[in-house]
Amino acid sequence: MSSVADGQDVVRSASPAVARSSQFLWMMRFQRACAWGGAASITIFIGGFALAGFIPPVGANDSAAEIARHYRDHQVGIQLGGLCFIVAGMFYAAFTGAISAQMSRIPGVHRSVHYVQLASGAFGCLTYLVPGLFLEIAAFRVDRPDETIRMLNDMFWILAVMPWTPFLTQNWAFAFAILADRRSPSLFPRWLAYFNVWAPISFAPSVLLPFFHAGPFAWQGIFVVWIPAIVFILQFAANVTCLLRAIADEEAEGPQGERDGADPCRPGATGLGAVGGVR
Amino acid sequence: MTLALQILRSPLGAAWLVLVLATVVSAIVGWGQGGGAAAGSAVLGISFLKAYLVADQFMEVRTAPTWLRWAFGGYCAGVGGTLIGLLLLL
Amino acid sequence: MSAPGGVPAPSGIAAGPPTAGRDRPTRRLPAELGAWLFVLADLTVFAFLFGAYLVDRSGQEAVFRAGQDRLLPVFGVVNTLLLLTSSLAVATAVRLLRRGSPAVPRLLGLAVACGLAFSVLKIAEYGDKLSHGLDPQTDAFFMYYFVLTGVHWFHLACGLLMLTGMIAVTRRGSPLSPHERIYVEAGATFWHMVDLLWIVLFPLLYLV
Repeated sequence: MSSVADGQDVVRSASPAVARSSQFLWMMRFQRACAWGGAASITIFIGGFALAGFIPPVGANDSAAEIARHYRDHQVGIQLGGLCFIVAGMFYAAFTGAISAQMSRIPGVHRSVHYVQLASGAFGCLTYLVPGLFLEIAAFRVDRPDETIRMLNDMFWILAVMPWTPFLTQNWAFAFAILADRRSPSLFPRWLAYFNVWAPISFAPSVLLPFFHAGPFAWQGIFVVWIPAIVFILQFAANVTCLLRAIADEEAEGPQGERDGADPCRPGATGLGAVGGVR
Repeated sequence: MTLALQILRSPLGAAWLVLVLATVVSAIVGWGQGGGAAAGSAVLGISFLKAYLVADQFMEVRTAPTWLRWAFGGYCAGVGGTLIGLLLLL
Repeated sequence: MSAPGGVPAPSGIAAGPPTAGRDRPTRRLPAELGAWLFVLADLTVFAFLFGAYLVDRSGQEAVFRAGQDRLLPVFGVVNTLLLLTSSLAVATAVRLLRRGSPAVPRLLGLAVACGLAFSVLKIAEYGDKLSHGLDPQTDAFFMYYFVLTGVHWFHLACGLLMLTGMIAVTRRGSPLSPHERIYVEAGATFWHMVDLLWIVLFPLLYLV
């Protein structure tokens, strides 16, 4: 199998097994790229904030004049930052797909768990896309009145920081699947499940940001933006690392679905009744 | 009632009694105003000792692997010390 | 097994955790690693909350003292005693679980009762404050008071749900599977963390 791994053209007269294994390798590459999408997503997301001059964030209690000056001084950076958020959302979708794909290799996990993970991840992509577009709108014309720019800034920050709910259902579905894995060793380490349960809880203080313009519970506060941001980064690091390991495990297994006549790469493969599972 | 007495006589029950006493003592020390930073520090110190006792006895950290004992000890000492420091210095 | 002298060795709750030999207890991590990472992470965030409280207090001592004056420490003391008792019940239940005692669900039920009593008192306390026009936006002290106790209570509520699950699992009477055992111990660990947090939170807000 490794002789065709370097991407040589598959000769038409080669056996179907060789053709399938080359296809398998390309599928693994696609999946791996999606998993790395998670790393790309968080990096570009943070990069977007940096380009826009939002590290540290502007304050919810800043005056309209101060906010407007920031947008005028950093117009291009903000426009590039907005693009970053939109791109980060795209990578997040791919990353979500890779998680679902590996989750499906855990035997006995019901399809509802997969659907919740997938749907929540898709929902979560909006939390990148929409704030990014708001930055584009805000920076599109900086000769607007200061108060208007501040309102658009409010829209960006509240949209960027507050929506944590998609991540809760996505992370908890993933954690549920991890803990449902009774095999030893399990596909994902069990501590990863606990981390994915805790991480969205650490984002939850964002529910307080509507009520405060200053202090630790405002959008610029330590409990609403700084701690969640650090946890978010660590969570991506953990999830991407473990996901890549799980993919390596699948690569090592090889296209064994052939044995049962069931291709694990076909759409709709749930893992129920597939490799390692109970028929 | 036998079970309750058994519990009270066990190491867990002893820990509970100590914790209850410490709660009452710290409430007396800290009650009302004018206690100042010294009283506040004592109260905080007692509370972190109580926290460690809960971890040690109730959470079974006492018989847990060493890294966990260090983690809880470090937490109680470090966070407790920092908070007392903040109280005294700020 | 009996101790020297013919006196029966302590059993049930009076005995410590399982020992490999007479001299040294085997070191054992209750529940599993992930549960402890969860607990330590939560404790870390709360440490920042405690620190933020003291830092902000140093800048506005008068406001914080005035606010603290409006609190009734008796609420806090009773709540502390309730949680300490509930932790005792849970810790005892976990010890007895290893010996298959039927008292386990009853002890967990006692812990739930304590947690519910805590919640009732908390609601009464909040109601009292709100009826006097004190809410999280009144001033910095009450912001911290409501947020800190609110976040703590949210943890307590989750703990109550877990305890309910633990009662359901242990009430069956049949031996627990390894994963069920982990669940019960993890739930107990989480509940003790809720107690531990209140042990620091109560003095910080009410007494210091």
